[in-house]
Amino acid sequence: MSQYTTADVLIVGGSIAGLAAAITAKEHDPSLNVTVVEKYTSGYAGKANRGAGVILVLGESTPEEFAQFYLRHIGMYLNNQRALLQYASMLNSNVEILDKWSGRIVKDENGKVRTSKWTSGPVARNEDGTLRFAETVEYPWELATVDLDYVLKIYGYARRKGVKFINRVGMVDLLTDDGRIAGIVGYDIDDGTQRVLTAKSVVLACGNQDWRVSPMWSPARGEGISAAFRIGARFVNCEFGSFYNWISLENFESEMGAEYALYNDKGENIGLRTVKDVHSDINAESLAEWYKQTVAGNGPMHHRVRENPLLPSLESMMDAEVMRARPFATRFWNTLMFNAFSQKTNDEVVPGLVGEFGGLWVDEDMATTVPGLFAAGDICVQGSRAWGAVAQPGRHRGSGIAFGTYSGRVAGPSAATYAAGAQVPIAHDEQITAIDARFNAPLNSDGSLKPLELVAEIQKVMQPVGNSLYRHEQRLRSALARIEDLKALLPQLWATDPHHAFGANEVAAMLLCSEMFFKASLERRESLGWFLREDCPEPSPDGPHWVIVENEEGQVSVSKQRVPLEDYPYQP
Amino acid sequence: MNTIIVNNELCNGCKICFKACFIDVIKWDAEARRPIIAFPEECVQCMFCEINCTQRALKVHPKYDSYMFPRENLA
Ligand SMILES: Cc1cc2nc3c(=O)[nH]c(=O)nc-3n(C[C@H](O)[C@H](O)[C@H](O)COP(=O)(O)OP(=O)(O)OC[C@H]3O[C@@H](n4cnc5c(N)ncnc54)[C@H](O)[C@@H]3O)c2cc1C
Ligand code: SF4
Ligand code: SF4
Repeated sequence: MSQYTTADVLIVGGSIAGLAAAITAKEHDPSLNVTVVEKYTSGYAGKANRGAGVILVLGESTPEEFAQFYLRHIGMYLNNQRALLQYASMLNSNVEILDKWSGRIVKDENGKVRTSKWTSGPVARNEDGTLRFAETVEYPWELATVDLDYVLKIYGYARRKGVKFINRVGMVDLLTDDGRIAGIVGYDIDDGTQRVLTAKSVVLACGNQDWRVSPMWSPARGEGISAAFRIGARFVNCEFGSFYNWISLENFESEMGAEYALYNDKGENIGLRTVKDVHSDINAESLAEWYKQTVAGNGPMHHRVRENPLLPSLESMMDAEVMRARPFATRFWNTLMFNAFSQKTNDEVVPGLVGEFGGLWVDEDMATTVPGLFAAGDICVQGSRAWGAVAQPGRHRGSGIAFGTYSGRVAGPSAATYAAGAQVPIAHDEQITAIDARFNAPLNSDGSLKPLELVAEIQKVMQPVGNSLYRHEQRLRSALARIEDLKALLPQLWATDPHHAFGANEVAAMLLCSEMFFKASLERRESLGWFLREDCPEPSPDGPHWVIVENEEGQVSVSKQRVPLEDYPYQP
Repeated sequence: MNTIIVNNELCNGCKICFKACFIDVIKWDAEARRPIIAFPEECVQCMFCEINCTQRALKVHPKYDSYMFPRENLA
């Protein structure tokens, strides 16, 4: 049994990026039917309401100052500079607009948005052992804060503006009509009913791929990425989708700033030696140092929290005033921290894979390479190339909400404009039938492999720092070979209900993303920014280039493209 | 595996815990108007169901040492 629905603009994913796209599409053209399809329940779903709730703003800096600093110290000129400047120029207004939609941005007694400065970076150790800071480093950004029920408030705002919502329907594939987008096929996650939604334009805002390793990142399972790949969308910067947090294996909570107070088991500080002159946040080199020390038998590594110089700045960001202004976030964090610390007994830290793999290629209008298909939020953070050679959140915390809001605000009007000028597309039965057969295969299978069993095997390939961060051709090749072996097991997946049928669809997406990640990593034969290769320790003499990933007759194919620096305002 | 307990006496059937879960651990029993803890083995202790329950009718007890994490494959 299928249910058919039509919309002008269809948004997939009802978290921050999807809501921002939906509201701005509707505002751009109120006559359009703007519908959000969310796999769980919009307002509660997604990652945007389960984090620290800090949001990047420019403060007093100009977009040009931000961009120049960013290119030099973080993006390494691997950026689309037009996208970077557009992102920077919308950072301050993001916060104003989030406040208009939710009323939940923290303000001071005069009603001005309350911001705090990011701490200066420690550069070395004084003779008495204390840390020396580079006080002259003025980071060209500040951080605002928001209470974590803001997404629920924005959901209410969107409904009042006339945006329609279909909750508990997960998209599994995109439909095309003569090369352009025609809609989506999804399934009700509770009763398995097929839902066919035709639309003139579609915005993918359903998050990235995090391989379910870090608990809070668990909803990001890459179904939007695999669906876009299947209809031939282009990807870029896939090799940057491997963020790691410092975590404790006893509670998996992030330990920010651990690299400043990181000791091997011999009592040597091994973090500081990797800290560079300008150090805005966690760098890949300190994670690589953890790997080298571990391989040399100097582990486990310890985080001496009392020596962590970032703590005062983190605490000031979350002082009593901010806590009072954020009652929901305070309840959330108090509960999490109580649980986490009541089960913690030691100071060992390890790099825990977060991932944040979101390489769906988009231009400055948030258009993908498929006509009528747009994207916003985590799914296209690397794909927008605004950030360059860095993993998300890319050494500028508070950037996830900022990018989600910015890209949603761009994608919404772009998708509305496209829809207003487009004919009603045709949903082709043969596509719908093929999608149905693919999605339901595990329900009809005589295999015996449960999706979670395969997830565990994929995680064993993705988590190791030697595979996904401090890379080497040999290790990359064996990781890729293992992923190919696991792909061969897909037909054995077995499901008994819609929950596990989705589990199987997610596993297929995880394997595809892994393959894209390792193939792109093999193609980048250099070390640059977040991307490290043990066997290619220097930046490439060929200059900045992007690794493009495309679907060639169903296969993941990679190629290189030079960054067109001559078209951009800033040169290395 | 995490333990999630529902106090059916305190629960008023508001459905919020079911909506609050971001990965489909909790299903809904429409007839009984009570949550079903369907897939506790997948719970990631985000605590959203518990903190959003206005009746304090639901509790999550995390068991981190059984959380699905590739502990043997770190380096
Ligand atoms: C613990 C944690 C702390 C963080 N802290 C911060 C912070 O302090 N500041 C900051 O700026 N950023 C932070 N981030 C990052 C930030 O949360 C993300 O960048 C942001 O949520 C991205 O928004 P999004 O809408 O693109 O994706 P998401 O928030 O991941 O939302 C994607 C939505 O799509 C839905 N979906 C998924 N698959 C499908 C499908 N197949 N069909 C339909 N719908 C689907 C999901 O259910 C979800 O609602 C944090 C993240 C985490 C996990
Ligand atoms: S949120 Fe609480 S009161 Fe509401 S249905 Fe769940 S357990 Fe019952
Ligand atoms: S703690 Fe989070 S993941 Fe676990 S059941 Fe509750 S809402 Fe779902």
